[in-house]
Amino acid sequence: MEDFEKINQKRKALANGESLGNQALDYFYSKRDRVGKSDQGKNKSLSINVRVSKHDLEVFDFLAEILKEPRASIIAKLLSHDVKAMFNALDMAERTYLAELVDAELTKQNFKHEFRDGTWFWDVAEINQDAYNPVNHKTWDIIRENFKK
Amino acid sequence: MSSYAADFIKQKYEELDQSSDENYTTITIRLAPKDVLMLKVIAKGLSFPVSTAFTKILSMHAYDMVMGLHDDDFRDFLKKHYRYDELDSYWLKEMVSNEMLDRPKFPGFDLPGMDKP
Repeated sequence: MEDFEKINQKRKALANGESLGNQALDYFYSKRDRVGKSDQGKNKSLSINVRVSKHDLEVFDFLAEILKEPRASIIAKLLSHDVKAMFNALDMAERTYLAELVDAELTKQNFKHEFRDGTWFWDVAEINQDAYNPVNHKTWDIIRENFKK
Repeated sequence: MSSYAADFIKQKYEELDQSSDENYTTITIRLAPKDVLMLKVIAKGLSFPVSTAFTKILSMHAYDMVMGLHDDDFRDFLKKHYRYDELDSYWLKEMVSNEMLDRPKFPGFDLPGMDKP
């Protein structure tokens, strides 16, 4: 297996540890090896059709087998991160308006928001988001107590 | 022909290839509503079809994931998938162009030192 070792060394030199694929792989490896592996409970979902190369599907089938995870679940994890990456790649104005648009649609379709009637909104409202982080509450807690007096 | 024009034609070949039933298939994936709705508005705003938006991206993720496999899993992967008829796959093209693997020369050509399952 000398040839495999040579190939494997080249692979390690070329692999991009920062790639989403690599991070997803680490996540699924650790999820496979965890006891009581379920993530958070099942949430509502919507479906989309995705065109995929049959060669790539063979790769995802292989990954599904070794990671003991449904193929669709692996692909969904990647796509979810990609949607976020697409959103983050938009300019500020588009991010803000599309966040408002999608949050309104989530409300209209009776989907639960992630936090305080907003979902994507919190990705563009960085200052407000920080305000709700308990780490930043040291002074606010004192002031809030003063209000009660 | 300028390289820009050559790239344009290359892209058209890829698009044509993606529309061929022979090499590609359509699968249904379930995502959180927030992701599906956001994807749809971005796709509509930037005028691209949702169904083929991830075709190339998933090829690149598949390649990255193979590159990150644990050693034994990678060895198993090569045993099963290093084949002449995988030459059109993105992952094999990348590994050949990176000089990580030799190009399978003909059907049944295996990597020296690799035992088939």
